[in-house]
Amino acid sequence: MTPDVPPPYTLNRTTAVHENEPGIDGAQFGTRDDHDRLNPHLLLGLWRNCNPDSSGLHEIQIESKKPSDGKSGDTVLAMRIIAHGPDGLLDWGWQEGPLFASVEEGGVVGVASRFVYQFDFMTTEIQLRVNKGVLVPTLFTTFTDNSGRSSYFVREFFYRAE
Amino acid sequence: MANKKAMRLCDRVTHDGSRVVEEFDGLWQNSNPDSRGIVQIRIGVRGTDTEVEFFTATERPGVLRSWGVITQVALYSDAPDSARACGFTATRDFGFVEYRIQANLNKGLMVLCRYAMFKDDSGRNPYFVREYYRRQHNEEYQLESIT
Repeated sequence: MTPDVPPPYTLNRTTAVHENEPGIDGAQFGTRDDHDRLNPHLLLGLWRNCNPDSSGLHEIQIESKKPSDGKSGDTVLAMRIIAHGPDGLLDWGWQEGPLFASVEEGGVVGVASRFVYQFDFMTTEIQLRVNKGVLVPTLFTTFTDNSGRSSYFVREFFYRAE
Repeated sequence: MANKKAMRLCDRVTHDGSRVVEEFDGLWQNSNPDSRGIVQIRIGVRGTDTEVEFFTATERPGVLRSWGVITQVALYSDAPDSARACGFTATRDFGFVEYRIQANLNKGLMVLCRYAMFKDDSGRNPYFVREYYRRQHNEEYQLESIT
């Protein structure tokens, strides 16, 4: 049962679990006060596809943005995709996504993000994370044009180009 | 085929819309016995419908908590012209926290990613978790429900 008014939390790493918490692993990721200390630089920069024969994404550019109101904990990422389109390179434009704390294998603290690109005939949800210096975008694409094409999942690997 | 709209060259294909989802059907067990997140996943395939139920760890050993059955599940194939379902997305909104789930199969292993977005001004960080699941054939846990 979802509580109407959640009881107060104790915000530290050992006791932040609410009695009605759907899961009990959230406490390790800290509080919004820690958010500004997350390191978005792991994701920032220009990235190129490791596969020179890819017919999917070619290049990804990621920047960090601060909200104009200056509130803490609201750092967002802006991503621009250049894809291999039917007639050459195709600019998907910029999208913004929130910054998430993450813990990678081996307990390494990292960051991740999630972006959604919506076009008039398809929607692509993109999971973005860095693993050992490799940018790993995972794309979940759904076609909305009744073309019969399957919604599909694909993961690609990008190296830092600068 | 040539007049199909595409944002990637690889999307210029045709497909009849068919889909095979049986690979998902059944119970999936977290590969990490010490996981404090989603410990077990039940996926049910009924014809063209798919439902998912997540079971998370509790503070009591051997007791899992159900998130309830989610019927709004989007399936994904491994290519736009493939019928083989190998991924899904779903959302579970508890009011004070919303989880976005993204999952895919990789050589028999299910890789499940979870975004947690808190909406209750409790000050908790949004976070991202990635866990791994293998097929399981026996019930090993006592279950409780919070739905």
